[in-house]
Amino acid sequence: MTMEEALIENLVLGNDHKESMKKINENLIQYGLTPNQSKVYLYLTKTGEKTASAISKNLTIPRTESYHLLNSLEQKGIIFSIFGKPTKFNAVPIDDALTIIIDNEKKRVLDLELKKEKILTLWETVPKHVDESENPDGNKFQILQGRNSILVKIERMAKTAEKEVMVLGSETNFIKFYHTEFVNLLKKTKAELQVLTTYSKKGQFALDGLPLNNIKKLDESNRHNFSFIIKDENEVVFFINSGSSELMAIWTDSKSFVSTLKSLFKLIWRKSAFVLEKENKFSQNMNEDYEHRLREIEQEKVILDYLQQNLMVKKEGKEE
Amino acid sequence: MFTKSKTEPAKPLEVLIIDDNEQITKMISSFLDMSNHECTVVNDGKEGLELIKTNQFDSIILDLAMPEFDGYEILNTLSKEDPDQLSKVIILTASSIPIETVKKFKELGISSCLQKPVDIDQLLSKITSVAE
Repeated sequence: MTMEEALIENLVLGNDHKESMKKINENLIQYGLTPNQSKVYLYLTKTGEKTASAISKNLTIPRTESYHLLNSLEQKGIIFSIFGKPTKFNAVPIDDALTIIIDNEKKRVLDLELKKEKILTLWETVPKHVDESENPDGNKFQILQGRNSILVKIERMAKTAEKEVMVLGSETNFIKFYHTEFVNLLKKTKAELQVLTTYSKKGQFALDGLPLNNIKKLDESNRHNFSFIIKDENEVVFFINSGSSELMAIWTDSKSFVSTLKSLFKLIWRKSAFVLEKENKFSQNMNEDYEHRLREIEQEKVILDYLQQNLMVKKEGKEE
Repeated sequence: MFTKSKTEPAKPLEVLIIDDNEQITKMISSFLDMSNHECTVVNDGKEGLELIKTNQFDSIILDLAMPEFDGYEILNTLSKEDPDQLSKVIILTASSIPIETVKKFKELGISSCLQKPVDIDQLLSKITSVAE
């Protein structure tokens, strides 16, 4: 990094708030901005109006690229140009900019939904050339990238399941779906639901809402960091820990794959205990064993007293 | 193995006792006899579950901590296969039960959860109220 670049970075990010700005930058990328778009936008919000050449020079972005970036940000509606010679650019305040981006995304999704019907209607008119029955056993694999695409797949599986939905995984993986429809989707399934998970006091909130009768606890020996969801005999989604922050999974309808994972699930399910039972067993310790026995003895004494009193009453009654 | 004791009660209630502590089951059975109720005793969870499936009891006194097949497993099976039976269950246990678990029992529709030692009149009134 040159001295000038360091000065600019200092100016854009600010020494005191460097970490916060870094996080904002990362979040803006999640909002659909490219890293350079985000850089330009943040630079303008920090410094105020600037010419294209000043932006290009200060952010060390090639001049032609800086025009493209400014043009695209203007189209998104989060920066605006000020007429003059030369033309200057300035940024819309960040709260307005975020609202604008969200609204644009909403409109885009709405457009896509409207277009879906049109495409499907058109598709019906196109004659089919592919025999859909040519691969009846299923051997398709699909990589699912990101939480949303995984959720869409799980929703389809939960809705179409006829017999059973089996879920196995560590809480660490399910926590990533907290604040999504994940638990509701599983709850809505008409098929029998079986969940095997590392059900700890800390992480059980991730599956809050699922009936406890359907949840068994994964033993220490089975606490591998893998997760999968099986639908009936024919579909499975298994999660991949890629190391990146983005969730990844693979969906397949491969019969051999589904049957292998299903056998594994059934084996672990048989060996595992329900959450209700475990809760009690975990809480037991030596002290509780002692208290347990003490309460049993006290109960015996209470019953004996009762029986004795009643026998005495009967005896007295007879003597009279 | 289970034993069945009978008296000639005025309004006998059919009570099932599932508890691995033989001493306790004999004693409960005795005072239920004295109170003109008819009771069936088992000291094993699996046998208890079979009896619930094949008989009609007015009330079921269930211990939680039993070896091999315990009270929790009985509750789990009933909640799946015959949840109506849960309203007849009176849990009588010497184990300490966290409040959250008691809440879960209530959600399942279990009638009562009593911790040993329990007063006999209290237990008798629970048995009667469950049967009503």
